[in-house]
Amino acid sequence: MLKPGTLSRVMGVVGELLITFGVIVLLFLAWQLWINNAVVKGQQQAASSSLTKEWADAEDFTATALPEEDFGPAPAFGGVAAGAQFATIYIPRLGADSTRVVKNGVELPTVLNHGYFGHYPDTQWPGQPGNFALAVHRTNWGSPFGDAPQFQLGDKIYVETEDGYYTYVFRNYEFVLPTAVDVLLPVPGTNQSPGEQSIITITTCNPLLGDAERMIVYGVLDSWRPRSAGPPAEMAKTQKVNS
Amino acid sequence: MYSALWRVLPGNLWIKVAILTAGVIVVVTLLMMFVFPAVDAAISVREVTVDQ
Repeated sequence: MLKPGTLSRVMGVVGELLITFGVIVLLFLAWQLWINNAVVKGQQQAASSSLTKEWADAEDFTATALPEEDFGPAPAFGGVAAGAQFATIYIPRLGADSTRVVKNGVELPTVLNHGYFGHYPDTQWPGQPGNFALAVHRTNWGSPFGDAPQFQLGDKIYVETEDGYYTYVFRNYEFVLPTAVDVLLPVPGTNQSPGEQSIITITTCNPLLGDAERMIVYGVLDSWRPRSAGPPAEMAKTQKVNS
Repeated sequence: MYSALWRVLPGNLWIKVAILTAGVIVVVTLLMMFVFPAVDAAISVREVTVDQ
């Protein structure tokens, strides 16, 4: 039989361990909700502006945002290997700090958990007829996509690649089950041929902080600007490196 | 546990406080740099893709 003094000492240590564990859990939540979010967001902003700068240097080009001008149909992006980064995406509705880098691939540990938009490898590329399908976290992991339910018809979704700037406009939402792979078809939901049409599809989780469903954001390609024409005015404001 | 730690630390009050503060900073930094990312990857999987 333990002496009463020993028992109370043991219980004291157990109590201190439990309190310590509780504090660590709270620290983890703070890390997940704010600290990691801010760190990943910062990394994404640095990565996207350095990509933009790298592409600008390659062309030895000083961007000036020209007024609206029609540069004809968009050329299809050539594609990249699995895991490579190939574009930046900027959605003004989600805030001036919503620019993120797009990688080819939708794996959580290597792509999405680092704040990237991931491109479904089996879907089409920007400017190509069909469906440019992306996935992104809705909250945490540096994602700006928590405000995605605020989209309004016609909201711009800018995609920048080495070749130039693709402007998509928001068309509609769809809420589906996680098994609804038909949202990735060239014409989402049908087996029709896309013809000339280019669509952007962004899948994210729904409801907020859960993943029982998927929220799908659709947009259609509206216009294209070659790199030599400079970024669209709204995008130029966020790209200080070019000025 | 913590009272024993307090007793074995050398120096006067302020030296003990300084050592403990440094220790807490080191522990929290290690947690945030190595432990939390691993825990996050293991337990908080949130799928955002449709299964291909």
